[in-house]
Order: sequence, then structure tokens, then C-alpha cells
Amino acid sequence: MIKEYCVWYQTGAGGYIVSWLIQVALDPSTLTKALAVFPMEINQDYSKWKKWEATPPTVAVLSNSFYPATADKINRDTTIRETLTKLSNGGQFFWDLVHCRIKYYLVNFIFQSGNITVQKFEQLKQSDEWQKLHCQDHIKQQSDLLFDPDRNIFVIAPDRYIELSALVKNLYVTTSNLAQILTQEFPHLKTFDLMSIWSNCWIQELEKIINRPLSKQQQEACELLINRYNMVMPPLIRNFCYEN
Amino acid sequence: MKIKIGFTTKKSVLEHPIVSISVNNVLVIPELELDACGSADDPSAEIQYVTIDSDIRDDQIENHCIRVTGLNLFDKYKVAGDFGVQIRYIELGPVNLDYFTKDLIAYNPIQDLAYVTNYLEPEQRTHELVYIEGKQVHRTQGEYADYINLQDGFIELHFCTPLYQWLLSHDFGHLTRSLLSNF
Repeated sequence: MIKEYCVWYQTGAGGYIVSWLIQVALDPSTLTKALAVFPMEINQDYSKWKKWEATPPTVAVLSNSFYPATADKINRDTTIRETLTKLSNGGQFFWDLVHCRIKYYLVNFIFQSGNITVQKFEQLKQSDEWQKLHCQDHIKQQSDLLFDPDRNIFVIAPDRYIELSALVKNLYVTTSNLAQILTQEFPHLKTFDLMSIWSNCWIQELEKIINRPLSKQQQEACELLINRYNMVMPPLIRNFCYEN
Repeated sequence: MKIKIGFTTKKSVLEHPIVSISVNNVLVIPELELDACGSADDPSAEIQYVTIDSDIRDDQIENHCIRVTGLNLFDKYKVAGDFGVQIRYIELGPVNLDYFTKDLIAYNPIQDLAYVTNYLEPEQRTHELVYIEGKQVHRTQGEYADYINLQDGFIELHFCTPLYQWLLSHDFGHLTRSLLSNF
């Protein structure tokens, strides 16, 4: 499984829709898989949104990796800067952003989802992929993509969108100045503005990421995915997106 | 291997708590005055860091223990829990434990039974009392056992090298736990 890009996001910021949009833009034949991640059943209970999460085949995701889980005890903006600086400096060593390397490998290669049940986790600990965790060279090789600025995309979403996601999907989220830090201090890194989906700028956002124009087929496939996403979005968030 | 420890304090009558630090039973810092750190109550408090050049090697299979001991945490006027030293940050070589697991063990020797009656009993935590060398000690363990507030209280971190294998043996701590769900 070779990953072409990695989408970094904060909980509730739309990381999965962005990663699948990029996936479908790269390969429209994956649309069916993408739609399965956003089934109509989501409408029945938004708190179980994560149940359908699955990582795209060639686009990786990485959530909440800018600061530790004990984020209440640290200055988040400082660790965001440290993370983005280390990412920009090449990742020569295994220990560079080792927590990101490990999470990247766990989520995208072993769990293939952003969350997993305890039972499934115990099963996967017996898998060959888990055994490969013993080999640092393997983890480094698989995760070196994290240090290629052209292949990492950072999702930017309004604080209000993230707050509403937390409210509706029963998530715990933290706020930071990620968007400001990215745009002002790390302009060489690629971003995806989540709100471009509702301001009809998403084609340009995707073309900026994959460095080529989208074909009609690619655009149509992405549009079908966006339509589905709009259908399963909690009304509170959908209203916010259209109003803003 | 470099060991970096970050402290905050709760200040009461005593302005600057003093601690000692030992690594594998060797006293490496006999007295460290914590005079440049902010309040343990403040999430964005200034952290006072100390870096130790230890002779621990990551390419050897060994068990290790870091111990931080409070040297002047006696203040008869203090209220339990209202004074003391907090370990807020630990870095072992290239690993910031905040991302993985900071399984600390805190030992606070009981000097005054009021600590038990006024603090541990109401909170139903008397099962955390143990006897060490004939002395009654309040022992706590886990991510938040990062605080000592009684004289001769100490905090220990036990870990193993190679560090990566140690992290793997703990399933990478809360890095993995944050991914577990009920769905």
C-alpha cells in the first residue's frame, strides 16, 4: 500500500472528507469506497459517525498530531510550530516526529481507520502488520512521506465548524491557532480550506494539491461525494457551512 | 542518554521548593531549587527544565529508574494538596513521554494523620496507603501521579531500554488508547 499524500487534521475539522476527496480526485474509481464512509445511516445517530471511518487506499490521514493527548498542560501553538518545523526539516532520523510516524503507521497500515474497538485491536496485535512494528527501519520507510512538504496537506476549518462537530458528534476537541501559524509562518506547506467545499472553490483547492487540472470525470466523482457528504451532514453544521 | 525534566510548583509559605534527582540510585543532582517555574494550577505556566547527561545507553537491554525527591516540603501550616512539586514534562533521549505514557509513581510519606482523615478518607483513597520501611506512605500511580507535597516525598519513573521496544511493549500508551472506541 503506497500512500501519495497525508492529510493532517484536528478532530472535527473534516479530515476524512478531505482525504477521500483527494483520493477520488486521484482515482475516481474509488468513489464507491468513499461513499461507504459516508452512508445515509449516519443521519440516524451522528455520535456514531466514526463507526464508518476508513482510511483511503492511497491517501493517508493523521489526526491530532500537533500536540500530545495531555494537551491541557502545554502551549499548543508552541508544539504546532515545533511539529511543522521538524516536518519541514527532512526527517532524516527515525526519532524525528516519532509519535507521528507511529500513529501514521497504526492508523493507515494496521487499523485502516481512525478508531478501533478493543476487541479488534487485540486481534490486530496478532497480525503481520503489527509484527512489523518491531522493525524501526520499516516504520521509518513507510512514514518518511511525512517529511515531504509537497505530499502533506493540512486541513483548515473554522473554529465554529470544529465546535459544532464536537457538539453533534460528541467529540472532545481543542482549539489552537493552527490556521494562522500555517499561513503566516509556513506558507510553503499545502493547506486545504474545508469551507472551499461550500464556496465552490474546491476544484481549485484539489488542483493545487495534486498539481494538475481535474478532468471532467474526476470533477463529477468528487461532486457526487460532496453531494453525499452534504446529505449526511448534521443540519446544524450544514446550515453553518452554507451561511458562511 | 539525555534526560530532560520539567517542573512546576504550588507555592505556599515556602517560595522555592528544593528537590534532588537520582538516576538508577545515583544522586546526579543533590539540590535543585525550583525558583523559575510557574504554578502547577496553570496549564500555560512557565516550566523549569533541567537536563541530565546520564550514562544510559539505548542499545542496551536494561531497566532504569529516575527518582525526584522533595527536600524541603515541610510546612506545618500547609493544607494537604495545596503545596508541592509537580513533574510536568519528561523527555528521555529523543522521546517526549507526553506523546506516549508517563506512568509515574508518587510516594508521599504521611507525617500527620490529618492528611489521612481530612484528605484520603473523604476521597475514599485510603487503599492507596502502603508501608515502606515501617513508614506509612501515600502511594499513587499513573499519568497524574506527578505530584509530591510532603517532606521526603518522591516520584519515580521506571523505564527500560531500548526505548522503542519499551514503548512498543506498552502499545505506545495513550497514542494508541486515543484510537480505541466502542463502535
